This record gives sequence, structure tokens and C-alpha cells, in this order.
Amino acid sequence: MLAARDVHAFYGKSHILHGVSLEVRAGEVVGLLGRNGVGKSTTLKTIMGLVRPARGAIVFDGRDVTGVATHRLARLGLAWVPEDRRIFPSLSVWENLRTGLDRAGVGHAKRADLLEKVFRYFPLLAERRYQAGRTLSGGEQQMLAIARAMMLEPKIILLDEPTEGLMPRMVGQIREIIETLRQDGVAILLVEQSVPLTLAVSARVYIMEKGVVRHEAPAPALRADDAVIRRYLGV
Amino acid sequence: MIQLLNGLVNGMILALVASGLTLIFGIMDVVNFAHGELYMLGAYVGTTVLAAGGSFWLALGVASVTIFCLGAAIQLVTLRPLLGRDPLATILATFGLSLVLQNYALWQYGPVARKIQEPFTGHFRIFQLEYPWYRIIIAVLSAAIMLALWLFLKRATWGIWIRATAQDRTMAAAMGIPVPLVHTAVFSLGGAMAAASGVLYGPLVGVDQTLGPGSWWSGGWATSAARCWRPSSSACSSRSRRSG
Repeated sequence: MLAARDVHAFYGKSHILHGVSLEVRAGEVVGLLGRNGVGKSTTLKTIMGLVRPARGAIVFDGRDVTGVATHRLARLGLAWVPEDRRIFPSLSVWENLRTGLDRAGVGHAKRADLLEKVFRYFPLLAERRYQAGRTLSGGEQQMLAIARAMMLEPKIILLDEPTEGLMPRMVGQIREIIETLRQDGVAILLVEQSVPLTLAVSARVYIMEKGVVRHEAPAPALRADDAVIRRYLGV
Repeated sequence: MIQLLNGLVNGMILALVASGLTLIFGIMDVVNFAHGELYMLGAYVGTTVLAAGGSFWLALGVASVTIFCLGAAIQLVTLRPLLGRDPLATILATFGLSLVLQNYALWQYGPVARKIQEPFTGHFRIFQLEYPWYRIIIAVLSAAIMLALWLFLKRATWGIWIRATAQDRTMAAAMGIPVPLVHTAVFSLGGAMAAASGVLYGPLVGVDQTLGPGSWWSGGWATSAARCWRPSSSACSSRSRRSG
């Protein structure tokens, strides 16, 4: 459903991605592992149209979407949850959610459905719905970022380090959310520092090094064989 | 007392001009040097409608709509291609634009100031002095327009899009908000507000091609005040982060 083919990307003059190729099938959770600075976040941004690839192609739903504007990609069913969450700080929780709800094809019934669903997953957000985004704690902001992405009814969520800086209790909750989204048929491309979490929720895992994908394996195989993990991630 | 009233009326007009300017600056990071010219052209469009026999209120409406469209055209042609470039580029572009518009007005309407007839000529007595009703109307209308803008930003879908874009345009785009269109709309809206204030203020001063620049300087000062006046909206909050 989503594929990156030999994608090269630059920040200014520095060459960050040196030909990344990966694929996510419909409804599949795929992990993207690698040390800091190997280009995992840049890969997600490039897929989302925020970094323009110098070479290569992004294919989504059988269509070449390389160079398509970010807001159009969001309408096509790609959602991005960035690692720093990027909640709109002066918008309330409700208004943050509205940024994804106010679009063509969302009638009253559907709005209510979508809201009911996220408030069931994240009851805390319902309590804080009139609070400004900036007043939420880190964990609450992460929930809001995921909830906001869900408002778009995406086919795939690009999830960038969802557990970064969260308490262990929250990490468990994020894991549950990923499972629930998968059961709902939403595909996820997960960038994560926590290897155990990634291996637990993913079907397949890609391992990146220096701007390229070095290794691909089903998650169960990696769980059984930690030599690969040690080699690329040094843990 | 009269001075106080005059101050209030002038302040309201400046606030109206400045809120358009602030809207554009806060959301697009564009210092619009041509804002005063949009204000002036708005007043001129008003005089044209009046000369054609239209009423003052029609002039106000037509001027706002005309400058809204002109603003969209200007944004598409000069500012959109400069998005993401050095701020100096947009300053130069809008400064150049202001010269072009000023000279266009001189060429089209000539150097003689024109008068907009006020819709109310009545006076009322206050502290043994006569004060024109029209000035009171200006202040009230300006306040009403700003209140409408505030409600629009607070509640309407487009208002939320505008605020989201101001706070983080990358994330706004990732949420499917058509950011380029929001920029165009904001520039047009700011222009329409300037045009409305041009027509409203026209009866108090003559309309000539230097109406814009003179008001721009005072508008600039008022902007800094208005930036902090607008509640819970874009301009006062943290600057939007660029994609990186």
C-alpha cells in the first residue's frame, strides 16, 4: 500500500537518505529501527511530503505521490505523528481534533463517531477538551497527537517515537493503542527507540544504518535472534 | 472631552487597519509594506462607487470585495512564489508593490484629493459642543468588524485553520489543511479590512494617493499594540516552527 523506492533526500547539502526502500502493506504494523541520526525521522518526513526526495519515488495506494503537497497526502489517508508531537499550543484539545475533522465527507454522524471513539480510547482528552494544548503533560500531548491523527481516518499512520520521554505506564498504553489501531485495519510505520516494544507490536522490522535500510526481517525472527539487533543497534 | 472622543475614533480605525496587518504578519511572516496602499485603494474604489451613484454602504461593500480579490491576486502573483525565502524578499516585494499601487492611484485618479460623503451628517450636543454622529458610527462599526473577525477566528473552520497555520504550518499541512490557500485567504482578508477602514475613514480626510503611506507609519505602531491585544490567537503565541 505504501512503498518508498530508492529514496534519496538532502537537508541543505548534507545527504541524509542514500536510497531508502521499504514497504508497508495494508493493515500491517512495520517497525523501523536504527541508531540516532540514521535517517528514520527523515524517512517519515519524506513520505509525508515534508522533505522532497532528490531521487526515488513514494508510492501510495498504487499511485506515485512523489512531490504531492503534504495537505493532499493527508486527505489521501496518510497521517503523521511527529516525535515532538507538535500539538497546536494555543488551540484547545477540541480545536486540535477539529483540524482533522473539518473536511469534506464528514457529516454529523461521522464526527460524533470519530470523537466517541477517541474519547473511549483516551477518556482523559474528553475531560480536558477545552484546555489549551500547551497545558497538557507530555503523555497527554502524545495521546492528543495520536487522537488528532485518527480524526483523518488514515489508512496508515507514520508514528515517530511515540514513547519518547513517557512514563512506563504510558508506554503500556501506547502499546495498547497500536494494537487497537491494527485491529481496526490501520497500517502503522513505527519509528521507535524501544526495541522490545517494536518487536512486540510489529509484523516486520526494517533496520536502518547511515541512510539506508540494511536489514529486513519478520519480528518473530528478530526476537529469536538478537545477534542482528546487537550488530546494528548495539544493545 | 472632544479630544478623547476623537482619539477613540481614530484609535478604532487604526486598530482595524492594524488587525489586518497583524493577521498577515502573524500568520504569513510577511511584513506587508503595501497594506497602506490597499487601504488607500479601498477608499478610491469607494469614491468610484459613490461617483457612479451608489450609496455609502454599497461603496463600503464593493471596496471590501474588490480589495479582497485584488489581495488574492497580489498574493498569488508576488508572495506565493516567495514562500520560504528570506523575509527580506517579501519586504522588498511588498515595498515595490506599494510604489506601484501608489503611482497607479496617482495615474488613475489624479493628484487632487477626493471626498467621500459621509452617510450621516447629523450632530449631537455633548458638553456644549457639537459632535458628528458619523464619527461615533465609525468607532462602533470598526469595533463590530473586529468582533466579527475575532468570532470568525475563534469558531469558524477557516478560523481554526488560520490559527493552526499560524502556530505550526508544517503540522497544519500534515492535518490536511490547505496551507497555501489559507495564506491567500488571510492576505485577502487583511486587504479587505484595510479597504473597509479606508472607506470608513475617507469622509474625515480627503482621499489621495498618499493616504496609504501616512497611515502606514501610524499603523505600524498600532500593530505592535494590536499583536498583544488579540486574545488567544496566533500572533502572540510562540512562533511557528519550520519543518526541519
